[in-house]
Amino acid sequence: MGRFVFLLNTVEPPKHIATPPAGHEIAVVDQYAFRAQDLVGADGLLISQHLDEVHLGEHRETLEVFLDRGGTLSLNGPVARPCLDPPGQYHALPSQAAREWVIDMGAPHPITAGVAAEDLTYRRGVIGFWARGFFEVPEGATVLTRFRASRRPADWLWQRPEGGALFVHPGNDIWGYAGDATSARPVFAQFLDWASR
Amino acid sequence: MIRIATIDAGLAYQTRTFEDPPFAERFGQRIPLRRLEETDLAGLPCLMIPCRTNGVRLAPHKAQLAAYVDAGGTLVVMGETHPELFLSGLQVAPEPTNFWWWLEEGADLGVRIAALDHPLVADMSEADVTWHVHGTLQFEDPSTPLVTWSKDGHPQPILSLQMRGRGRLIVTTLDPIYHHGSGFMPATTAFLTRFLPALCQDW
Repeated sequence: MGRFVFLLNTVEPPKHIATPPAGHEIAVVDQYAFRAQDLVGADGLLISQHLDEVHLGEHRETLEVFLDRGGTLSLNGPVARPCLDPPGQYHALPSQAAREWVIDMGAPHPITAGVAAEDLTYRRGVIGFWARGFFEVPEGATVLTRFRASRRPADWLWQRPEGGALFVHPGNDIWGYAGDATSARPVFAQFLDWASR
Repeated sequence: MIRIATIDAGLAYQTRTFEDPPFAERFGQRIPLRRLEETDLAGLPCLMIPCRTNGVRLAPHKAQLAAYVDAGGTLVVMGETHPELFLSGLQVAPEPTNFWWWLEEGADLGVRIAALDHPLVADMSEADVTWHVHGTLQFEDPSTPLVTWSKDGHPQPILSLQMRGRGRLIVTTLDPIYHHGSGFMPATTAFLTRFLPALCQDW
């Protein structure tokens, strides 16, 4: 069982943050009240697509220290102002054509074990929730999913040489899939398992 | 032509809408949410609270926002902001989001332009206001529905105008800035292409 911190910047926490899967513990901290001490003893920090990126950028050093000490960050969303580099700038795929958003699985990994690419690409037939753009992959990172047409990376996992790990997901928050009735459902739980290994 | 002043909550999709073409030129002063209290709103012709700004953080500024409208300002409150937390006389009846309505052949979400002659929506088509319905608006005092959504055959407002004091309040449950700025759902870009210039006109 792992201990995680979620920064809250919405009226309510998302369902699977408030009731985490697989026995994990998630402390919900108001983003504007966030302090470095909140990360003491935490395995990971969950960074949503709905955060104040200016405020988060003011805490860059805190994030780096957390990583240096072996923590894991889950970074979600089509970021406009990156809080860290890597991942640096987000690049939207140039076309919003549905065929550009088809996902393929990349390297096998415990986070995506048992997940079918089709369940990431489509939710009840709608395409685009999972990812519509990418971040450049740092050297040594493992690409977990890719865009079929462009071969660009979607999800990747990077174990920093200085310590810690980044799980970068360029689309809608991964915990939003934790209630899906498809093979996309376990991704969040498997990430939490991996990050608290 | 005026520029729209806006609260800036630092959300990625807000940043992209405010800074990138084609809408950057429509926005003027950006007021960081954390600096709202110390910002003098007097004289701003139009102030927007953009999609998904956290209503809990606006609740302490209720009196400041009310005073702005009362003194003659135009306040534009976008979707998923929980306006009932920072505006009086208004409730939002939430609706579970149907993300999949359009997959059925001949599907019609049921969103309609209710005031075809109103300059804020006159140039819009039904396609420009049709993506998701997150809730409907309920005002204590008279208001003018500009866009409605029919539930069980009864049209309910999802974009409305209300005169308050010497000013104007525009509220919607539509969240186009979230989708446009996230690169997801072209109808929301079409909506902003018509709505933002209309706000900048003298209407």
